[in-house]
Amino acid sequence: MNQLLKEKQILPIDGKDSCLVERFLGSGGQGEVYRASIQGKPYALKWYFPKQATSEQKSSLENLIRIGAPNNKFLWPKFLLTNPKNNTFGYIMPLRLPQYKGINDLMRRKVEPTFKALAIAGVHLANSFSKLHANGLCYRDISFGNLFFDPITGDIQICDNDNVTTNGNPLVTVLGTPRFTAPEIVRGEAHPSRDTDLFSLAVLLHYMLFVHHPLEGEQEAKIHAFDLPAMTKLYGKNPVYIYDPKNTTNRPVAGIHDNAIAFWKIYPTFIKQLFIRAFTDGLKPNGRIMEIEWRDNMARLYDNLIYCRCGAENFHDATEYETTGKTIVCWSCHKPTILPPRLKIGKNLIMINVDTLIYPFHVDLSISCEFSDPVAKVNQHPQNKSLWGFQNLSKDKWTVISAEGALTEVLPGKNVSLINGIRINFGKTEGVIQV
Amino acid sequence: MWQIIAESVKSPNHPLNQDAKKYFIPKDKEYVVVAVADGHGSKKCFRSNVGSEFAVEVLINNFRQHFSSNKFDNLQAGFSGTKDNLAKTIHRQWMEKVRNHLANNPFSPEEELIDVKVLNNQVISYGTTLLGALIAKNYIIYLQLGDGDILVVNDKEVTRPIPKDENLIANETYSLCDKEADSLFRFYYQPVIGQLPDLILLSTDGYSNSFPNDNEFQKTALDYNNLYKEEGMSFIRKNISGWLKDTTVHGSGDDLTAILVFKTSENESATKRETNITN
Repeated sequence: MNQLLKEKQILPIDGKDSCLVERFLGSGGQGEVYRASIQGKPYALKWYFPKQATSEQKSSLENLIRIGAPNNKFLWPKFLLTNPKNNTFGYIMPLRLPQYKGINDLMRRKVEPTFKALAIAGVHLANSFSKLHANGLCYRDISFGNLFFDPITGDIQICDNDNVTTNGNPLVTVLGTPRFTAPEIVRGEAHPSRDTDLFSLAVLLHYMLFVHHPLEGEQEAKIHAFDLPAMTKLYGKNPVYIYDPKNTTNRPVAGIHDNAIAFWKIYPTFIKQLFIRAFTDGLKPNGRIMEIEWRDNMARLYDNLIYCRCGAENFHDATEYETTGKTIVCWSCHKPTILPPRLKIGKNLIMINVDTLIYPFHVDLSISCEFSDPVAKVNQHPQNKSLWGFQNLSKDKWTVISAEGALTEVLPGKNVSLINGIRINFGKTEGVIQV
Repeated sequence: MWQIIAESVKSPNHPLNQDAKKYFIPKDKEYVVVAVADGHGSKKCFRSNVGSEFAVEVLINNFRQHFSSNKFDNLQAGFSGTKDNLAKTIHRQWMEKVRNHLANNPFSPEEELIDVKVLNNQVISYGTTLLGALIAKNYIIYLQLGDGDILVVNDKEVTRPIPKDENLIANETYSLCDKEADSLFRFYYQPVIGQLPDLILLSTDGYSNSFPNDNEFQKTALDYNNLYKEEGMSFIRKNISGWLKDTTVHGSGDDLTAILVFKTSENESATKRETNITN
């Protein structure tokens, strides 16, 4: 159904290189996307519909190309291509890899990522938008159409970056995607900004974790036609969080909003409290949760993951545990979970599962959350299967202090047993093992 | 600008035709909307002839409403932002119609015995697919839930605006009776850059399943386009019922429904021929 470019068409780039159009990939509101190649290397090429190929869009693209991507998660514009014959243009960007799936696929349950992958994706998402905003930019249209994630690793790719502008730019052509836009935009009181991006980010994270929109409860169930007045009321004039503790008028309805009801029971108190804040105080611009707070809490979610004996992933709920002394009941087999050994570093508590990896950001709080180059992994003793340990994967030696005060060193590649009360000095921080 | 033929034939193996079709052209002919639905017709879906009628009715009403309230001056904030609402509204209104119908026409004792699963979720008995198109001067919206085919002919090229869903195998299909059907709708929004298509064909899967492969089925769309140019509208209108009956008898054996939307402007020969035949 492509209308703008032909397969095998060759487009010049700055009079030097050329770009070969290979095949049509898809169409959106602004233009068409093709698979293309430059010197044999594959890329994606977006070409604008004539009506969308405005001089403002072109200069905005030139600016984005000059600034460069905030990090490697963004499929950022690389080169601008023009067709002087009809005054249209497009741009080259990295090609999205096939293992990355749309959040739409998650909503439709076509992909079933692990909770671990979702928590990692949440960290990457918050981190990436933190970097974009730190560069003085505003994404304007955070929604699940623009985010792709690897359901195995939780890595993400952020697409459609050509509408990114400097924060405060009153460009009116992109106001965001309904359901993701902040209430003040829905009411017509504001244009997209970093503040409204933060609301959209919260909605996106809510969708990812609860597979449901935060404001769609009883009020939504009563809607007969999803027209503009209904949408404006629900998302703009009278937004109520489905789990607002003080306003119970918009609770999810069984039989209609079952995802929200089911997933609410699974997550630990701290993350639910954060979402409550995001959609009560955060309905106003000055109450929004900042990217860093999302990032740290998504990392904490990752750290609190435990496995039930039945194999299901669950989350340890420290608040519940401290109050009742009981571990959580598995959502799958409905039996109480068994708390695994823990590593406590400062305020952070990390569950030690058979597949747990400790990353640099765990042991050096000044380091950004990246899930690469782990410093420790869990090992089982080759003879005594009931004995578990941490293997030092870092380049530095650790100092270990036993509960009795004896000091030992753990060189790179060596193991330390996970025994209650031992302290491990990782260099910048010290952790205590709790069994 | 458009001429439409809508035809449906009953399967020789079914007591009732469970397909439905409907279209609407406003007086000013600013746009046209077309819809076909394929009631599942399985043992469990014993009211799917009613379900498919509700489906095309709800879709036509919503496309009309959609056209009048969305002018799409801004493409990005236009359809891509409203398609979810359209899907939700269609699904919810279809459900409401089904529930009202059930309230006024409770299951008979015979129907209650058909399947215990259906007795517990009676909406299943109305299960149906849905395909539609809103064709305006500057854009076309295609919509599909479940199986069926939408083909577009431009000159000698046939394309599918919504590709076949690889997740649907054998006779499996998505249905309006699915609880989360609104998330299963697929859309294609096409701004018209150059020429409008010569022909848009929507059909229930009984049509494409009558052919050994997709290429053969797509040739049918080209044949219709050629016939329209060479023989005119009346010729197709007079013969299509017989062609469809032959197709299903020698092919799928299913109910078979097709809507053909032909572009009329810049087609003087067809218009002339049409006038001659009519006279």
